[in-house]
Amino acid sequence: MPTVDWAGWQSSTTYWTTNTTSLMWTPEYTTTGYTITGGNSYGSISITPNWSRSQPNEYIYQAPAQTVDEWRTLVRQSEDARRERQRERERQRLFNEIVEHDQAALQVRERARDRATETLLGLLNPDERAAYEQDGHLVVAGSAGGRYRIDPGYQQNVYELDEHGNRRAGGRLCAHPVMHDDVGALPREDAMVAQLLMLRYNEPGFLAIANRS
Amino acid sequence: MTETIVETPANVLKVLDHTGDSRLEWNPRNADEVAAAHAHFDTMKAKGYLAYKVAANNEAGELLRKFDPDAREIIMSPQMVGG
Repeated sequence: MPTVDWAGWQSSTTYWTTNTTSLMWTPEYTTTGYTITGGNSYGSISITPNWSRSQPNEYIYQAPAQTVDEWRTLVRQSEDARRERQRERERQRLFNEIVEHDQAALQVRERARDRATETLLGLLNPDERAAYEQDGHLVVAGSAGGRYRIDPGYQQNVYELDEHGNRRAGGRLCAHPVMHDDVGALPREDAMVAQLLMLRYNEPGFLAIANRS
Repeated sequence: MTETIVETPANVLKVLDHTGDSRLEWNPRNADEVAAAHAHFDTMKAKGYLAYKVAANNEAGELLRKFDPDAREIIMSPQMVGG
């Protein structure tokens, strides 16, 4: 029994009866996907004993009702499978796009952090740089005589220090630059640069803005 | 007689942004470059950016309210906000 994808046939008079199907097709029509093989001037169709040609371009296939139902099921299954394959290809394509985009975005972020770290380190003298690389935080002398510790991060990361270098009670300060420009977020090292510069050259300005906890 | 040519490193304006920072260099003896740097400085100041003149090892730095064409390095940060 041939496998037929009825959905591909262009037919103006296709009809189903319990045992008869009539197909019509035009010369432009292709038979891709069909496994009915044979040949005539318009397409491919197997001229089996069950097919009779009623008129040019019209073939009548005498099939039992069960066969017709089976063929309908085959067509539906074939179409469902085709659509699922399409959806899967689309899902895979979107997934690949997301992965590529995330990797690219990650590289951009890493480059930004490296650049900001270079700027930050360029503001430190050798002792400060050594302390930062060892301890992971900065100690800054404020322009008005205060001393501060800047921890990695951008909010609630600045601490007032006493004369012994210890954190003062109630001396946690939060002030940071606006962390987004028109394109994206600033790396946190840029926040530390901005905090260091403001404390070093405008300590009263920093204290006037910062929230204290 | 051999003439030794010493190239002076360009002055640089760094604006902190999502790339880390964007940089604009200028030669203080080149009027066009100075003008371009000055214009960019003023544009960022108008947006609320803070400017600092910095030097190696944090010596002789200061808060800048006006463009200094002789500053070796200027860093501009977005305005600060309380967190």
